[in-house]
Amino acid sequence: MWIPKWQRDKERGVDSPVPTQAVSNEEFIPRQQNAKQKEWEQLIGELADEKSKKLGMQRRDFMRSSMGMATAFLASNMIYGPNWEVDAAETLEPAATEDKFPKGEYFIVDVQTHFTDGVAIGFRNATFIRNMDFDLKDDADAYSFTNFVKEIFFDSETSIAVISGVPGRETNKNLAGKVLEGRDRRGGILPSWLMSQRKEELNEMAGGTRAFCQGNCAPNHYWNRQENAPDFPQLFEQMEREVKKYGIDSWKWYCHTDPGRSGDGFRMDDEKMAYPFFEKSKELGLNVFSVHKGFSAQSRTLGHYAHPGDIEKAAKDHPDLTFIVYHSALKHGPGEPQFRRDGFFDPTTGDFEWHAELMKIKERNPEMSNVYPEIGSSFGLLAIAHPVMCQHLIGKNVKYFGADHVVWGTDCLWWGSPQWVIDAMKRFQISDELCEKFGYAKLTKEDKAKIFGLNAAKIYGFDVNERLKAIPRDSLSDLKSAYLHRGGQPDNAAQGWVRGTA
Amino acid sequence: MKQFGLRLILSVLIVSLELAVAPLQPREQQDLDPAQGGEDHVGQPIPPYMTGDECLFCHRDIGKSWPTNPHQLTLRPALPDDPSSTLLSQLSGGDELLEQADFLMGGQRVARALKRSAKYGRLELSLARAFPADASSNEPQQSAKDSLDPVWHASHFADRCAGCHCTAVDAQNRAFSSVGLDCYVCHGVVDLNHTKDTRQVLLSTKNQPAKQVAAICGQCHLRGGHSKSSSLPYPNTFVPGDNLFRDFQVDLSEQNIQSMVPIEWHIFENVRDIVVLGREQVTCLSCHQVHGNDVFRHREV
Repeated sequence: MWIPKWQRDKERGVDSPVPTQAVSNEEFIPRQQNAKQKEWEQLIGELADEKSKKLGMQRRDFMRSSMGMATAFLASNMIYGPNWEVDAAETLEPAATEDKFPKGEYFIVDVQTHFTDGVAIGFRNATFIRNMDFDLKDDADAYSFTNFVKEIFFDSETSIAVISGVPGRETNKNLAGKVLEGRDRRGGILPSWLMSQRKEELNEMAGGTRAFCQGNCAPNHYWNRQENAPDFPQLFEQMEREVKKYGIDSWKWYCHTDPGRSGDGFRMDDEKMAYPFFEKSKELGLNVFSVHKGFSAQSRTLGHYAHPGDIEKAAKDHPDLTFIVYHSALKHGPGEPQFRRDGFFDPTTGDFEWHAELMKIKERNPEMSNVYPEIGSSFGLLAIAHPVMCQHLIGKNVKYFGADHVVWGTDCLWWGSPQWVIDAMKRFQISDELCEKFGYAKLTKEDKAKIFGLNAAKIYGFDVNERLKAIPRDSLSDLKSAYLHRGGQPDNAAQGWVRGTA
Repeated sequence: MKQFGLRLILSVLIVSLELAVAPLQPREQQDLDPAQGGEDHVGQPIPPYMTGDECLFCHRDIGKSWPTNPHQLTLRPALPDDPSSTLLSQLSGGDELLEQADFLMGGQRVARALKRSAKYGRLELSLARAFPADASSNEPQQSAKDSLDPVWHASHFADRCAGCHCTAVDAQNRAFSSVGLDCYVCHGVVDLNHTKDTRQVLLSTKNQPAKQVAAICGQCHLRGGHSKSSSLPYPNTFVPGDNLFRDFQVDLSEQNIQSMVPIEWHIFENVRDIVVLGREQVTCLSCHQVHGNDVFRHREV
């Protein structure tokens, strides 16, 4: 009989803060927990019993603390190998964690953050979130800008956020030809006009740069049906609006979507569609292109356009542009049935679908320096569902592109406050075995610093030292201090993954 | 699986009970006119609607199973491992045909290939047809190479197939706005605020007005009908929520229904019960769960 994981855990007295088996989304039959997973789960229980008794705590309370999380990672290392940086001392003393991972050690720029225009979209109720024992609200307020500020800036160590686009396009004019403004322009759950508005509000509130924003406009958004080609006058009008009026800092493309009903997606190396857009963007002075690649099941028929194969020519033909490849082109997330199919991941090479293609592009073009793999959702999801693949993801990204080209993103607040992903990255390490076998390098603190924020700073062109001085004194930091002083906590603080003192 | 089995048995019992009781109920004095009431968008432009890729950004659970849903496969990329590719490749000139093909259509009864047209919203249809070995067709296998001129027909798909194999066909120029069946085909024009009131998404619950359900499913499943205004064998600018029958002419007579094969009979009789006899207890949704891929389950049963 199928039962929810939480119910099984309750019945067995399991309260691990990390999921110890693959979770079915009810569209496929869950696999039996394998021997290692059972072993891991049992070990977490045993260690938690032992340590909580030693500390005179209830086991449940222990598991909700940073010590509980450290215990889960420690047990994982004992079973699977050294995937996580964790010391035994951290399982008995919260201060050990604080010493090892002091707050503010890294300057964190999250290039993939979202909220919605007042609509709830169900992500925060995802199975993997529930299975981390997170209890996130999933109503419209939870996806609001207000909660965005709380979860991104107050509940996590993120210093600067890029408000990142989602599929959708704005309607320029009504049927009478009148130019529309604000909400009348529509544009989906997070339109360009709204990202821009909120960026301004945030920066004004902080008294300095705390947010950047992207624009959703893309080559197939305005279509001339008579000529069956892009409607360039309309397209360029929208581009100008987004750059000049909205002040966007990057485009966000979803090649595998067609909100303009053009009848197709588009390739980044399409000289008739994408190249005129590139040239217009250069003319407008905007050179950063953030492109969703991977997670192809998010399109009904156009998923193949999420393949990274079109980046090679586009990037080589446009060395003056910067391309950020979102999700590092991970084709399927761990929640998708295809993720478990034979051949998706090859443990003998460490390759997995579509990510491998992105790596080959760089391998073929070592001189290509304008492509940056971003790790939003890919890192966080693999970290909890498949630590070995996660090591290959980061190991290969760094091996081929360099630590100075891997960019931090989390896709939050879809997954709550990003602090749990930040914590995972702080503890993340590549095993000796994989380093030796696949030629990966151990990730140093310097590497992590680049990934966490220094690389994004270069792309978005701001002075890190200036921000490091200004941010602690800005109004947003004051508000955060007041929030923490009043006992503010992330929604998932009590469940163990995230430390409540964030 | 047990839960599904139980649901299926209960559904069959309920439907059987309702069907058994139905003849005992006094027949309406007068048959209803399906064309009465409601509205239509005949001749009007296709309304702006949210495309499926925008929907799937949020509705990721549907994205996982939709690729194998029969509704999604009405028109699909011409991939080599598709059974229809195998069938078509066995035709004389089949490999050449498949090299040019962008999409495939059919498969159970007949397999066809299509390629993109230079025109917006149009596909060219290969007149070559391949039949599965177990298909109950008397038609001969057709060569892709020898017997057809032209091999690719420019308007055949638009004239005959587009309405039910693509989304939002503009009856004026017969151009579709999306390949295959987009969410809009069944769910209609959905406002962003549907997250606050899911009733805005048609067919999102079983408690939809029966005539609306019959119209939405009937726009494609009532085969043999035609549009009064366009004479096309598919509806003219049907927007879910419309009264399909104001413009779409279907023979729901007992005589016609009795002459049909069981699958058609089943559909026509149920629609007739709703729109002519006013029996609204049972709709397509009483048994069919489209997102649940229950067509496959049906076959298994």
